[in-house]
Amino acid sequence: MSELNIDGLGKRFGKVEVIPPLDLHVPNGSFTVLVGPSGCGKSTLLRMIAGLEDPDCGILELGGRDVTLAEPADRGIAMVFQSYALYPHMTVEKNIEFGLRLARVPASERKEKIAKAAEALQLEALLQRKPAALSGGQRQRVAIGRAIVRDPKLFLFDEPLSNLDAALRAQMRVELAELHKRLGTTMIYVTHDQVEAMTLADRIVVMNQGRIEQIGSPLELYEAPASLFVAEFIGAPKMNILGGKFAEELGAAKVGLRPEHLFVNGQSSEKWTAKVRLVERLGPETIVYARVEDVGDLIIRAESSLEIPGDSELSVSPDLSNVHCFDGHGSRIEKELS
Amino acid sequence: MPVVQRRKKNFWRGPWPWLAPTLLILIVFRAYPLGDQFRLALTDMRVSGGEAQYIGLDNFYFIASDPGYQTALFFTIIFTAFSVGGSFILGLGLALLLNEPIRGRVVYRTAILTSWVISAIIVGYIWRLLLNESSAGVFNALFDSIGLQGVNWLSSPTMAVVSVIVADVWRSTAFTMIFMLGGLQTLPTEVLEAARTDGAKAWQRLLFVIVPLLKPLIATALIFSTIATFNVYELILSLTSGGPGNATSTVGFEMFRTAFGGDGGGGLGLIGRGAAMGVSMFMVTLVFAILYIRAGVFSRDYD
Ligand SMILES: Nc1ncnc2c1ncn2[C@@H]1O[C@H](COP(=O)(O)OP(=O)(O)OP(=O)(O)O)[C@@H](O)[C@H]1O
Ligand SMILES: [Mg+2]
Repeated sequence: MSELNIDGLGKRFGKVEVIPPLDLHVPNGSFTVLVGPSGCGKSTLLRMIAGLEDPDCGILELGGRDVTLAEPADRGIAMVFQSYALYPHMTVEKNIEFGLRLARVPASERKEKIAKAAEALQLEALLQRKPAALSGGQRQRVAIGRAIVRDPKLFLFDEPLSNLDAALRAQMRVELAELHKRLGTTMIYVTHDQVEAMTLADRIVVMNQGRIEQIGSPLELYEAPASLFVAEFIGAPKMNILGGKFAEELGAAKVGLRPEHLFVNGQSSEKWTAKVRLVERLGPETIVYARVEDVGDLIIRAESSLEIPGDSELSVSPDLSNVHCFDGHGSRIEKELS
Repeated sequence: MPVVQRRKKNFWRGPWPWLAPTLLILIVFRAYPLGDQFRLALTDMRVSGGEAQYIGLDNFYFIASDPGYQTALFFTIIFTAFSVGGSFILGLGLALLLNEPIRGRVVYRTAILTSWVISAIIVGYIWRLLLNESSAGVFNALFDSIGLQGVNWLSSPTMAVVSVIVADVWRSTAFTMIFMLGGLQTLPTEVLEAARTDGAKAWQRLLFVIVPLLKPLIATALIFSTIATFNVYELILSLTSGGPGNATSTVGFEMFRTAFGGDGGGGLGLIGRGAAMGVSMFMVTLVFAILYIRAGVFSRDYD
């Protein structure tokens, strides 16, 4: 069992309360992604879980054991850092071996584990190289190799892919997902990239200013964001947030509409005339940035074959069965079941 | 094939006008005296004047068989080894300590740095006050007040050697500390944190991660402080004047005493012979300078 239980964990740096006391439960075997804007305290929370930062209050339990103040090495965790944090003076092999050596694992067993990890991560040909002679993706794999040979109960990742280019990032995403499937170990993964969160997680924890805004599966967050913040943060292109008369009529302070829930030339009771400002032809779809008088700016996800008329005006209608309503505090208003 | 037109070189836009002032100073105050020292070492020039004669390698033959020079050389080696070793360990220790976010570390850093900024002559006088064997000496007064016997800090040959080494360690620790502190601050924090999560205790992180990463810097610091310590004479001059007897005379001090003074100044005033000693010191320094360049100081594991 390696579930993680966080109870009232808080952290302040000087006068600034970076993380007000928060509770979090990470079930055994889950791939939990902490996501939120830059500076919201994701890394701080992760570092407290790792034992690299001491919390000011609260309890941290890993696998039923209180590890609030335990040394990082005694927690049964392994961490992968954004900068890879490889030992520059050691070869790839020595990098992976270091933790095993410190734990006094016998040489034969060390060899075996390194060989296994190297095979899984395609590092065999690189074992005698030093980190400086590796590409970013290779370095990240070494960092992951270093983590898996220690058989941790919990993997911690702090933005492990953000130093990679887009193509490599997509590839590593797949590899990480496979790794999780193969090992079945609990993983906590920090990112500020919501696409990464959506593709990797079975549970997403959305954070904002040190607080947890919402916890749920990617689809739950997408389909029923609990707050305006989550609504705007999850999903690309962003959800349209509309106020004014349109919201009022629906009994809300703000109304959210996903770009795919706006129909060009649709047959709805509500019809808007939208002035096109920018068109992005992405191939499988076309994103239209438009403005509607008295309603606001809209992002519309349309067919790739969409034609823009000469006067740049489109008739757009919202899918009223898919609106998200929020009250004055930004909390979701559940629609009455009809 | 079109040929790339080379930009016309204009002397005034090149590096030379900028380098010239420094080069001039280096030539006048460094290169020329150095060269002249080699010339003087082959003469019997004296402070007291008179026509200097070319005497070939006689000065070198003399110092090679001079017991005074040999004792000084032997002491200098011991002195350098202990002083460099001591100040390195202390400097690294202090750097590690002051790299931690402790209260008032700026104050400590500044305080320690002072010992490096003060000239060696003054350091010698400060330690003479501390080690004065009468009741005016700070240490002996302290010993006295707690009922301990005073120590012959400077009049016993063994204690004098220890005292000189301690004083020089005190003086050069700051240099190593600043050097190492600078190095520690460039260390990637995530690498050290990775070592922590890998299970490395503080001493293991020091031994297996920090020291290897600082290797080029450590080599530099050791070589610099070896050169500085090997050539020291001001500290000796003001602290012990090489005594008691010749117990604390370094090659540098021997050179100073041989070359200057004369005519009642206490020294011998034999500029030619002193220059020969200077040349011998230059050779030793040169060896270390070459070591410095070859020590892989310029190669790093980082990219
Ligand atoms: N050692 C520290 N001392 C003071 N403030 C800190 C320290 N570490 C972090 N902070 C502050 O705490 C807040 C949260 O930082 P944290 O690194 O956890 O953010 P993050 O969510 O990981 O952001 P990012 O996505 O940019 O990595 C920030 O406002 C940051 O300035
Ligand atoms: Mg962060």
